[in-house]
Formats: sequence, structure tokens, C-alpha cells
Amino acid sequence: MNNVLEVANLSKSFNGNRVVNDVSFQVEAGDVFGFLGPNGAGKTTIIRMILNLIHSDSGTVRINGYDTKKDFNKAIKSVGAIVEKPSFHDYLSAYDNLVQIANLHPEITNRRVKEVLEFVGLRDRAGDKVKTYSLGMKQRLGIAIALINKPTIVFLDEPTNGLDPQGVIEIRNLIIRLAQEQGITFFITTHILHEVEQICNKVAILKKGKLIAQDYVTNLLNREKELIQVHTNQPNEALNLLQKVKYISKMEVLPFGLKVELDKGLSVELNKLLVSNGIGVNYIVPDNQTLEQFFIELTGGSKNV
Amino acid sequence: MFNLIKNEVYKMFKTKKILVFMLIIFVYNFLPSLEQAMGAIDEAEIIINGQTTPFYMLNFMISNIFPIFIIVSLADMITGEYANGTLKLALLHPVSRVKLLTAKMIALTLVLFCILIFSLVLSYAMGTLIFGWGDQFSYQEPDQVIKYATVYPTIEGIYVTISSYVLSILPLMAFGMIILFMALLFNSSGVIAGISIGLVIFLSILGGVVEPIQPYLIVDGFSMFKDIFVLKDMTAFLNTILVTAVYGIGFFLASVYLFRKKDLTY
Repeated sequence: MNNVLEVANLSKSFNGNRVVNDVSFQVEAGDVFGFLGPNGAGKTTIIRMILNLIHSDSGTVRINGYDTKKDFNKAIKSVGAIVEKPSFHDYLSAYDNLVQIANLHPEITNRRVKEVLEFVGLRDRAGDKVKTYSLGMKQRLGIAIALINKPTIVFLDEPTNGLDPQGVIEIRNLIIRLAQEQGITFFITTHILHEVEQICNKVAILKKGKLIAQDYVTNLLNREKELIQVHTNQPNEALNLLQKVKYISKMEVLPFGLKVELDKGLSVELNKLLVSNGIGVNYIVPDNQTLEQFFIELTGGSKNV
Repeated sequence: MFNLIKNEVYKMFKTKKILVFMLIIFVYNFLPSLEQAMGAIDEAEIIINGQTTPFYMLNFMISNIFPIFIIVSLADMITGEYANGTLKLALLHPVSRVKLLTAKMIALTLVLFCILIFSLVLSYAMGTLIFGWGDQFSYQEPDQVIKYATVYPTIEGIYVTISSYVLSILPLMAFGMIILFMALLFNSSGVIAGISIGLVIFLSILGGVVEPIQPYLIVDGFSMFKDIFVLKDMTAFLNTILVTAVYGIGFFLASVYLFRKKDLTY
């Protein structure tokens, strides 16, 4: 596969405090890559280092094969980005803000400016000053700015932050549409893990400046063990019976019965064992692990990404 | 580079600051007529006419209005944009930091030039309207008697006046380089404005108190046009040009170094 972004051994210290520690990862063409971590984990610092806004102490970043330190102009040419919050010259109109960016790329035409305004649904308000825009409209304008140079990779730092549910859905659908229709690679940080699960195919998890996990979302959640809920009226009998079963690694008595962690694919065996020993089983319900559960497990309990 | 400069000039004209400064310059141009009405001009035995008003106005505004315009503009263009997160917008595209700084300073020079031209034309118009055109260019320093006034025939007077306005861009932009350097050091426009205005006042007082260092202060260079057109001292003029150039080039290079090393965390 073709790597659009390659980050190798990136490190950074502020005032002697190491905030990013030897981080390496790759993003392939077409990926929607979720970048997660608790507050202060170093996500935004890493995005800023990738985009050369912050200088790294060590390590390399290659975008579309170009080293950002040696060939910055070539590396950044096909990049779109919103870092932290979308920032604009709010005394200018959306159209003027886009023209300001278009002027930095000789190949961008006025037609392209109108095209992106149309795409994000701001054509009718294009002449209005940005200071009159709602947060949702500003996010959409940010995406228009990120898309204007037809990028191969777009960095979005918490793109749905502060939006109402309708706005969140709009932005999420926009990202999915762009990834599917235009094959744009996305690199996204977000507070909403459920969102990552819905739109990202890969994730990397950062804790205290170190990368602690990175893989396809499906691989991270599809582990060798599975969790099931055994709904029964005889939980104590079931617990006694199952205590010696080798393929069971963890059990917990809950109001509905038992929550059991066992080797993958053996829930039918478990059901048979219970029934053959006279324990009535009302239901067996898979208790699928969410990314949020996985994240909390890895980062030590913080839900705040 | 041309488009970068175009962007910066466009942004400057879209803010209300230029209009505000034009209004202030307009109001300042009423000061000579106020002095006339109060009898201060007759009392000092100074001849003011349409030909000399722009020169007097430049001499007056070069040490306050124009430096403040530069301070306010750079506080907005550098510190304000950095704090608002808009400084990074251009840097997320194929634009080097050196080019961006250069474009901003060129844009400021162009806008300053427009402001100076506006001031020149306005002073000619208002001076002529209030005092009449007069028969020659005649300039007196404060407390200078009329027989020692600097006198030029009309055409030469116009040349001297226009040249003085154009020449003033040099010390003002050298001063701008100092403000640029400070704008990159701090993250608050208010702090920059406060420190810079304080610096202008301090240096002006310092020059008056410690006279030997006066020729080496940036504020002394503001009136370099008088070295050549009033004092007619070419050595002093060349010395001021050299000092101004050292300030301008030195602080620009220091700003470039600082900006290239700076981590943009906003």
C-alpha cells in the first residue's frame, strides 16, 4: 500500500519536559485514521510537528514521500488542515478567506473557490463576513479551506468539537462522503470515540506522548477473547459450575446473571454445558467491546480523549 | 510573492484601522488653522502657507502618528494573527516563513506609502484652503527667526516636500523592523502596543537628556529629511541613513531568525 504519511521516531520536549516520545506510525492512502489520546497526550503537538508549525527535536515526517524538513513546499502542497479550531480572518467574507488561500496556489481557479463553497453548502452565505457565522458554518468553511487545493490528505483536529448533534452528523457525513467519493485520506483527532468507531478504519492511541496502540479498528476490537452476558435465574450455581472451565478467563455476577469472558467462538459450548447441568439459560447476549471500553482499558480509565 | 503581498494589502484595507488613521490625519490638519485662530502663529512670527503646510505636518506627524500607525498595524498583522490562529493559515500551504514576513513588511510599506500620499495631498489642499498658496516655500524651526528660515522657490519646494515624504518611509520602516521583532516575541497585541509606544517616548526623552547618543537612536532618524533639506548637512544625513539601515536590516534578520525558530502553538 502507498503511504501518504510516514511519521518516524518523532520526539519533542518543552522546557525539559518530554511531551512526545519516539512516536512512529504510517497512514495509507484512503485511510480514515483516528488519532486518540487523553487531554495533554500530545495529539495536537504531533499534528503541528507533522505540519511544521512546531519543530521536532528528532524524527522525520514524510508526506506523499517528501520529507517535510527538506522539501516542505512539495510535502505541504497536497495537504489540507484544520489545526485545533478553524481560524479565519473574521472581518472578511467566506469567499475572501478562500481567495486568500487560493492566491497561494497558482493552479486554484475562481471556479474551484465556488465549487468548494457549494460542496460545503455555504454558497448562499459566501459574501457574508465570517464573524456572522455559526460554529457549524465555521467548521464547514474550515473544511472548504482544507479542501480547496484538492489535497490527498486532510488533517482535522477535533472537527466536531462544540457542534450540536445536527452539526456533528453533517460533518461526519461530509468526511465519509469525501473519503468514499474522492478517495481523500483523513487524519482525525476527536473527543468522541463513538464517532471514531463510525468513520475511522484505523486508529492510533497516544498516552503521555507515547503511542500505546495502533491498528485497524476491527482488529483492535476483535480480540482472541469475547465477552458474553449469560441471563439466568441461577447465577450462583452457574458460577460454581464454570469456575473450573479452562476456556473461561473471567466471570462476574450481575443482576441478570453472569458476565463471562471466554475464548472466542466457545459461547455455544458454554450454553451446552450449562443446559446439560440443569441450569436454565434465558438468553446469551454478546457484550461487544466498544472502542470507548478499549480506550479506557488502555489509557487507565480516562474517558476524556 | 506577489500574491502574498496582495493578500496582506487586501487584509489591511479591509480593516477599519486605515480609515481611522486617515481620519486622525484629517483632524491633525486642522491644527495649524487652530493655531492661526489662537494667534500662536502670528506671535511666533512664522509664515505658513499652502506650500509649507505639508512639510510642517510631516515634521509633526513623523514622530507620533506614523509610528503609532506602524505599531498598531504590526501588532495586528503579527501578534494579533498569531493569537487568533490565522498566522498559520498561510504556513499550511507552500509558503516559507521568511516569505510571509517579507510580504507583510512590503505590504505595510505600500500601505504606509498610501497613507503618506494621502497626508501630503490633504495637507497641500487644506493648507492652501486655509492660508493660501503663498509665493515661496519657507520653513522655520521653533524659535527660529524668519530671516534664518529655509527658503525654496515654489517648484523646488514641491520637490523637497515630496522627497521628504518619500524619504520618511526609510526610518519609519526601520522602526517597523524593531516592532516586528517585538511582535514576534510577545503573544498579546496590547502588550506590543504598550511597550512600543513606551519605547518611542523613552527614546525621545533619552535623546534629549543624553545628547551624544541622539544620532544613534532610531527616533532621531525619523526627521532625516531635515538633515538634507533644512540643515543641508550631508554628513549628518549619511550618518542617519547608515544608523537607520543598521537598525532596519539588523532587526529584520533577527526577526527572520526568531520566526524560523518559533514554535507556532496557537
